[in-house]
Amino acid sequence: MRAGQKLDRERRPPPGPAPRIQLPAFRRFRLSNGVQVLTIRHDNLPEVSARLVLGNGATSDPGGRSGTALMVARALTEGTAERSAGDVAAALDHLGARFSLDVNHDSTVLSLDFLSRVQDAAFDLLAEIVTQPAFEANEIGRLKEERLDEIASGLDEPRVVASLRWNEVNFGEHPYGMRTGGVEDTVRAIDRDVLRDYHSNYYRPGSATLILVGDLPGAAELEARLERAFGGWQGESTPAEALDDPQPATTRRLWAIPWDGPQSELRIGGIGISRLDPDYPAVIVMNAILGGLFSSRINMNLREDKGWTYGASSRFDARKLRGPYYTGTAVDARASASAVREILGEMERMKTEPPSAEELELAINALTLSLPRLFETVGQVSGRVAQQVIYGLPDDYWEKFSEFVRAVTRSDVERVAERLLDVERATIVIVGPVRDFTAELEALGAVEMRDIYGRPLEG
Amino acid sequence: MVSKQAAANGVPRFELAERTLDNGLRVIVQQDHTSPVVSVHIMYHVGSKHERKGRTGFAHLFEHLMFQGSEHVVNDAHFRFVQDAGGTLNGSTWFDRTNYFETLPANELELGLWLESDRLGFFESAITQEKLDNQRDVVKNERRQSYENRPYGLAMETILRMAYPEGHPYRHPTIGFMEDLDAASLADVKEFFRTYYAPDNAVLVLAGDVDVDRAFELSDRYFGEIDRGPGARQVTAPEVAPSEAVRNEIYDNVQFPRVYIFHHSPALGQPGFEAADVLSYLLADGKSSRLYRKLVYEERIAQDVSAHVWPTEDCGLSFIVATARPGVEALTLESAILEVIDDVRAGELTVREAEGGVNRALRSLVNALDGVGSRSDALATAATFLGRPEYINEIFGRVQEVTTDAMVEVAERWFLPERRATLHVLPQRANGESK
Repeated sequence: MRAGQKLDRERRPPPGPAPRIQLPAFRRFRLSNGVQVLTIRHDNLPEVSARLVLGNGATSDPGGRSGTALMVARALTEGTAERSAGDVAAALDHLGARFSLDVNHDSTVLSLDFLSRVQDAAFDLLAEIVTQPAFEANEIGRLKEERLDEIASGLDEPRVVASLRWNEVNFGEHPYGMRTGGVEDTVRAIDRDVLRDYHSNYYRPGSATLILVGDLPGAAELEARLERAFGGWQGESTPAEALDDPQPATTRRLWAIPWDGPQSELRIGGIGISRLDPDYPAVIVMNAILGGLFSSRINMNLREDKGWTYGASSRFDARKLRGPYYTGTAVDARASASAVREILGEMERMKTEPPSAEELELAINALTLSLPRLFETVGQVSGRVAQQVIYGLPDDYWEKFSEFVRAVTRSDVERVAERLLDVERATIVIVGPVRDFTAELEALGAVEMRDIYGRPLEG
Repeated sequence: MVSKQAAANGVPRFELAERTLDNGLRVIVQQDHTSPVVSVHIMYHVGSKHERKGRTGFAHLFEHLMFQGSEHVVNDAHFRFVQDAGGTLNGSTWFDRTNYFETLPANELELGLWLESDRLGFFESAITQEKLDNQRDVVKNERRQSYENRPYGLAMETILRMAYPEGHPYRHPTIGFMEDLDAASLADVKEFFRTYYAPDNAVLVLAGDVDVDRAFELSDRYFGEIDRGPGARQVTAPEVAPSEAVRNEIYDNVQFPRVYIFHHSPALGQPGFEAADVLSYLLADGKSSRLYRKLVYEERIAQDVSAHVWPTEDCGLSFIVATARPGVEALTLESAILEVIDDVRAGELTVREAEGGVNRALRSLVNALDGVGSRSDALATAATFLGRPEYINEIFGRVQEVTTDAMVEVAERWFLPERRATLHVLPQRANGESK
């Protein structure tokens, strides 16, 4: 032991004074064609994370053509008015830039990561692919085949099968029940005109936000640069059709999908909340206690107490409309029915046994004190800002976030558990050797045997 | 500290400070005040290559036990302390090392040091048979989830068995085999801990919003009193001499054949490593890369293709993986991949594609070093494998200097049939079984 006070190992060392959390202050401006630009300088490393956010996603797919939004985004790099697909690829790759896309039900986010020394060329290329895609017939044909292969390959994975089928049962006919990339029949029905129409309806400067985070030039230079790159983009936006919220189920549904393997994939849950629901802070606190944290009730029960799984967690996916909530896990097949019972039991226990003061404090601390590390890298910052744009959260949302979460009480948690966690109407999907334990499952409700495609099977 | 000026040539440069405590613990500090966060990262020089026969998977099982409490940190409290502070944590096991890390708000640096020093200095009194049995079950479920019940999940362990001779330290996977996990006893746990978990067999990295002097002072305060170890026997995985090409096929519950082509290659930071890494970008990263263009775009025989170099301490390994499109045979894919390798060996690379490969590798490196967590990992790895944490700065220059000749040389020396193992994973149906 060195000089100074003897080290007390019995107690956790007290934290130092809380650091001042510097959340990103963004500069906001509009290009002459209406594109909104949000920039944040974060220049410890010579890199830039760019995200172009469009407020439409898969729920805007035309009828019978699910998968359109995804395919439009994928087609952007497959040739433009100026360059062939091969030339676009060569240009991106030579810059060392990485293009990626995230098309979900509510939005489309196109990302480009690059070193700041190539930013002029990167902006030009991003503008070119977003605004002038060629949608060349051969390339579209190829993209469709790739998507069909991908759909087929997904069926080799029990975790993918479980998530897809759970989503379909949970949402029924609501557009949230359709996977974002479409299914075989809807993908086959997509052609060049469908893609062109989607692009001209929804890829419009007035509904686009460009988020730039990183080692950026000064304001005047950047504005001039972006004006040159994106200025030619014109056209009016088409408002998206308003959708109704999905409705919770009226009965429990339990699908059992036979799959030979040593584990069962489980998905259990229902309809949650929208991102702008006033209960959002209470719901994320409740979820942290239920299954959101490693030290949550569900993970401690199934992993650390029972040893049935490598991990189990729950999440609320809050979207523009009421999104799903579910617990997902892969458990030792022999424990399948017991694990379902325990998860339902934990959902019920959130109502009958409200959180202790320690549980509540842990959840609130985990959600609020983590903010600094959630805004550390350029990609994290641009991703968080994109959430603000997609859901229309106020500019000071992350500044106020801790305050909202700290205000959540034990009775708020009880109230939202009562409102949302409904074991009698839970949607349950099990993918595993279900014929080995059908009798056990029948004790949990009316079992519907289905194949991996969701088609009914004989008991 | 990272400064804008230091990044003037387009790549960053990280200021490093290093000190060794009296008990042999190497401490590396990388000060960066950009965000009010700090990473506490400790890497032990022990991994699956150190395991003895009949105890595969032990280093990884042991890693799990390190989260089950120590003398002053009860049972699962480790997770709760870190989450309650707003932090995140994990551990991982690799052939050559095991690491444990937390990313915390900067004012909780001491929490991280307290937790890590407690499980290094005061572990044995807290371990029980019950904890071992529970985590053995968790790990068996990890093996089921991540390997056995996942398509193509057993390919890697098969290819390791093909590529390395009997008794070679890299021959078995870190997850281990079920029967060996069953055999692990509490006595094994204690012996393993005493042998390998010692300050003089570890590197501690503190990165982020911390002052260098205070970082060293606190490291000494928390770790200084822990005794040196017995001098762990280090294991060097010997380079495998070129012999004949090996091939195999296995059947899995999948619809499409997949081809794995494995080559021995330079280890992390050894001559040729960066060239092999850049070559992997040039082969399969990006749609203009040689393998993607030929297999996926032009001939349309593959759904996907990737190429990687694993950052190992000793003899390295690199592999190319491609999945067939419907109706395409594994052999067709394999021939197409080998044609591309032959083209590279014949010196067909252009200066322009080499520049692109270098640029992609640099961008990916900068992205990876952005967060203090992954930066600490890179520092600890460089210190443990190479004894040279500065490698995380040197690598930018080394990558920028990679030329077409250097990549051709890698291909000529390493991508040869006599250094190759080829595995086809085929649908069970082809084996006369039904899905």
